[in-house]
Amino acid sequence: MQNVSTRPKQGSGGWKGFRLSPKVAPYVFVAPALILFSIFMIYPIIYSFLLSLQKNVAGEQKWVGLDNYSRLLGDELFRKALFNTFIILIIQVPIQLSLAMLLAVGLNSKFLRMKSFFRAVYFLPAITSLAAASVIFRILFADPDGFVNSFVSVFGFGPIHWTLDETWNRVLLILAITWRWTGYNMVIYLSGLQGIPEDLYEAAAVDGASRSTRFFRITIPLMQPIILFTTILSTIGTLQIFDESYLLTNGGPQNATMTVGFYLYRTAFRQADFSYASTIAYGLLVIIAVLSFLQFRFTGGREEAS
Amino acid sequence: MRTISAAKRLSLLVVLALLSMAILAACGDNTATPVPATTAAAATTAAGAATTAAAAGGGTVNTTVKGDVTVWGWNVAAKSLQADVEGFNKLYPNVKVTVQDIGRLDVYDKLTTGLAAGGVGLPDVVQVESDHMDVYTSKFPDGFADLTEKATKYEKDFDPSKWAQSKINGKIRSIPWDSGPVGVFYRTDMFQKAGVDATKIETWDDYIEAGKKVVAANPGVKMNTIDYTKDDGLFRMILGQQGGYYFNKDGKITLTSPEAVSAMTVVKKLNDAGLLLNSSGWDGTVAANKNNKVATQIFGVWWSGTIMSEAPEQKGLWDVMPIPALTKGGSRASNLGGSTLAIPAKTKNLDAAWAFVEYSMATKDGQNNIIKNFGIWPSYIPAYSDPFYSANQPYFNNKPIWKMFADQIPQLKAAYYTGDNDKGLSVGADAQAAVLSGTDPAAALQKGADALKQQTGRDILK
Repeated sequence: MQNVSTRPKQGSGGWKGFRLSPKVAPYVFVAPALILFSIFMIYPIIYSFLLSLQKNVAGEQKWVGLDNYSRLLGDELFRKALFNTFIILIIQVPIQLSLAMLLAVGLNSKFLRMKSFFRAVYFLPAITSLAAASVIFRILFADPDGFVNSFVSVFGFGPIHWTLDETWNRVLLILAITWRWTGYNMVIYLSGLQGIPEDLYEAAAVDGASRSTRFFRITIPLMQPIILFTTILSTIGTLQIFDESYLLTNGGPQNATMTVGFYLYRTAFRQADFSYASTIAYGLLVIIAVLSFLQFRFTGGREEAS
Repeated sequence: MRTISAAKRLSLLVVLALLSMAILAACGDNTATPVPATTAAAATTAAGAATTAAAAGGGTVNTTVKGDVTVWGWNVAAKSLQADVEGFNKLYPNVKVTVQDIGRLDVYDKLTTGLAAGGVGLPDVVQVESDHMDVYTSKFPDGFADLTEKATKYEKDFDPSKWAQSKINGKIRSIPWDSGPVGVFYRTDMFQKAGVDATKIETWDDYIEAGKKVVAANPGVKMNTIDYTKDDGLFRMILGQQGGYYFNKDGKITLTSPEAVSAMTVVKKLNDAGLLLNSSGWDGTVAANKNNKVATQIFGVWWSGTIMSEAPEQKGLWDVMPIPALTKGGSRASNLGGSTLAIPAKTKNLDAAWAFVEYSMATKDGQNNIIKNFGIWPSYIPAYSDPFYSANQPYFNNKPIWKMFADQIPQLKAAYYTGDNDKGLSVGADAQAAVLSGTDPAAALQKGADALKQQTGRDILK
């Protein structure tokens, strides 16, 4: 009250006497974030759900109920995109994470020189513009006479049809994704590794545990929460993979590397079919939610039990 | 408790849902890099007689129309519009035209979002490939300005097949730009070596027989390129010469029509005879031609511009014949590719925008500047009276090849692209890939038609 009386008067109304009570204050401070969140997150989420229940008929949005969803269930291309995405998920994520772990352990070793150089080198792809990288990839993997094909032909292998063959096209995509994200996960693992007390390894070494025993009995168990974290992150990331499919393989031969993200983009921005694109988004949302829920439940239950 | 409580589970789900939507939303922000266009617009600068046709003498100067006009296009098409600005400004000195080359796919992305947002952020004039136009007009019927009143007087002046595509529900929504009459570009030296007389080739069967001789006489050479998995251009050209497409005028799917089956059968026969070279994408096609790997290239007229600029050393070796007929005496005219110019309805300056479109598309000066310098073939028929069209072309065996293309224009039949053209293209390419790996053409097309029906909700024409 004293403060108010010492302030110069600002007319009869104004801010005089305006006070934030401790009860109201938090809401006021949080409000800007909440409003922005509502406009840019909540509203689009609700709106796209409404869109998924409509159809554009000659410029008019018509309500069609669950028509789009039944179309989605019977959509062969969506199924193929899901199949492709899951192939990448099942093959690529384990490769990428094991590779990241091996690199992290290697770079964490006391004997290696120029550690920060190697760390930077492996992390670099994660911050490289994929647009630029995919141009290089396309040149390297040009079919049939790119650098990689010239290289394997030295060892007597015929040209690999990276762009024509469905399987090799998927391999190409997996290579590109691995190249891009391994270093990223490696950095996460590195920070995790540095949290493991050195004396554990020393004690194990004294007890005669081999290098691999120490890795599987000390490193892996202690790193488990971090491994879970990267697994969930990579799973969600892979399910939404778009850039590589779009820029590098453009969906591939016979849609071999068409991902759900690319299919969604194509439906919305190439075919101007925002309703069905929203339906695809919600289809993917359900799948991601179920998968993540399973992963959380699987590990969450164990955590509570311990 | 080993399991999470119901409330916790629910909130977890909600958080996950929001999280994944957030990441999904971020997906949409990716800016696309321009990918080289493979259709009409990709034809690069034609050597040709490079005289800039100024508007001197033609038309009266109009100073009442004024304002700024922004134009979106890509590649050589954007360049050619830019080249028209000088002549345009002689007639309309108070209109400032800015042509922006923002890449083909970027134009489409921005156009989609702009139209969806009710016309926000769009230019005054935009280039759209003919087969893409329906995507927009079907979803945003009033997204482009109604040009009926201004343009109807030109109806007789344009390639009728293109004019039909510009008319949507009785209203003119775009002005035709270039047509893509098709020809068989062939290597005279390779034909000569095999003792094949191109003028004797009348049907596809003749072409295949000739092809076998050419391939035998020229080791390492195939007859034509084809993109095994990504593009069904050859199929579409053979379908088009019979007046067919993926869809008919009523929007029904016609992939199982006798025309489509016969077209796909020709593709299969060509492949079975070992005449096709698998080339990946536009660059692969250009490289195959430049590296003397093929004896013919069946494409739209816009290919001439590309080959002249990409392979100047092959000057004089190429000639052109019409596409072979299916049966003796049958149609030998088809179309591949082509663009239109449209004016977004929200333009602040319709008159100035229309003035530019009118000058560049519907005057001899504007169009002949484009064909002479950029190899883009006019849909505007009066342009063909220029001596340029009957002149011998040194690059093409000193033959008046332009005349052959011009003669095709009245015979071209409109393709009904519909808003689902993109889906049709991918289904067509898949059917072609299946046929080339051994499937029966009718069966592959039936499967494609079923897929297209499922994706579009359209009926298959019985």
